[in-house]
Amino acid sequence: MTRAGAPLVGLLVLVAGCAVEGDFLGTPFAPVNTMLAVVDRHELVEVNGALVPSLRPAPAHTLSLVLTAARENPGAEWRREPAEALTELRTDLATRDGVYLHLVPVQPLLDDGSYTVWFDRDEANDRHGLVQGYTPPPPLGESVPLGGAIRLTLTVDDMDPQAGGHLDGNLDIESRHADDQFGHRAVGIVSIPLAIPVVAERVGKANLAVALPILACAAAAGTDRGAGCADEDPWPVPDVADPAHGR
Amino acid sequence: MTVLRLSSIALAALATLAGCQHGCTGFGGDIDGVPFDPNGTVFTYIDATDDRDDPAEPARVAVAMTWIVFNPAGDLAELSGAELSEMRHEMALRDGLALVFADQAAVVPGARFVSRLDGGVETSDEGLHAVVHFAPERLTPQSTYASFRQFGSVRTVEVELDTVELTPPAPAGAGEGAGLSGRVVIDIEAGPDDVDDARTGQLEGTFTAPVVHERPAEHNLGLLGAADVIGLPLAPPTDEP
Repeated sequence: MTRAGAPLVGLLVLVAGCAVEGDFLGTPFAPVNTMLAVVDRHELVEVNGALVPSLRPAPAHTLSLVLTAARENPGAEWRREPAEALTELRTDLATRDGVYLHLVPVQPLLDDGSYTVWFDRDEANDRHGLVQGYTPPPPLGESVPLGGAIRLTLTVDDMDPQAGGHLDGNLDIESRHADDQFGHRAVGIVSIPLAIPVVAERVGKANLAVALPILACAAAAGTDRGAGCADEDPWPVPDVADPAHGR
Repeated sequence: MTVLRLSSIALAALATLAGCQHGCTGFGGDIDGVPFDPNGTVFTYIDATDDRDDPAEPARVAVAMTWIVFNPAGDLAELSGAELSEMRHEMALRDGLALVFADQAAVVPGARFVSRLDGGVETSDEGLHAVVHFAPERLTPQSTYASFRQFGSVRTVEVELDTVELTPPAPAGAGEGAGLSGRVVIDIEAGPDDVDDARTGQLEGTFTAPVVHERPAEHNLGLLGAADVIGLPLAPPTDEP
């Protein structure tokens, strides 16, 4: 079967027990080795310089979703992995297939059952983006860039947003030519079923602090330059012993 | 109270003496359940030259305490990149303490020093600057925001020196000299603006910190990225108040 002859829809790729449906004109996209879902329900409010946790009202709860071909336990604290394992994780986040949605309002998602966002690939930011993993050059492989316009559609069938809850649904990823874009592009729709636990909030947000800067950098940099994003500094994680906020 | 202090110091010292390789320390007590354990490597060096190798006046005396174990008089650059990377990584994730005495002339047996920080800002000027690095809280699926209670903002470090012998062995790199020994009390208290349930407590310990030459000490601390953790090696002194 040639890549050009691969069906647009219906190709079933089984990766780590997760069925990915579809590809981008024969280019597989399978960010399914690790799926991290975190619901942000608390904020740290500064009172006289001290950080005090506060439960946000339900309409302000947000979901963050990271899907990546990097392999890691979403419930473990990533920054405490041994240095070698952490370096490997950071490199894989920067260079392998990945997609993320950050700060998606939970209540509309529960009410409407879906959330959709369109964005230009080169304008990815820390709210949404897509990392196309590196593919070796021919004859080992063929690296066809995705289209310049990406649509992410998150459909929720069932969700318990509490820590230890679950998210069941689907993430559809559509790659299209951007308006001013011509030439060969890997376009199509990849559909990834989701049946994942909602990770405990504090450890989940600490893991997002590792992953999102790398993913956002790699998504904006593109496949050829994404590897350099493995060194992106993590976002700070507020700590109880932080002397700068200890008053 | 005095009995409690002595017993906790003695217990900490007994618990740690067996494992000492390069210096030694042991702390008893905790900060509302958070212990403190920088007992991997403890050493002293004299910061006698600036970054251009010119004499620094007055010479400062620095004591470093780290959870990780290494030979401060050796050369960490001889480790493999993976080993050094692992040590740097652990350095940031573990407890550490730096004691910096502003003037070597004041570092004598029986001398007492106090360093006080209020909200991260040093408010004392008594010849000691202390940096206490608590390991970042270990997060698990059981970690909740209900347990997010910050430490009190007033941090006092008291040091009393027992023995002082600051002559490093010759030649440089020959190992460790006698150095300093003494007692340390770290007090975390709530300030007037702190939240009601701020974590407070007291840590009490003893230390024995052999002296090593300045250059290997600063070289190794630099390789470990210790400046971002405990503020060593020291930046050149400034004339600004």
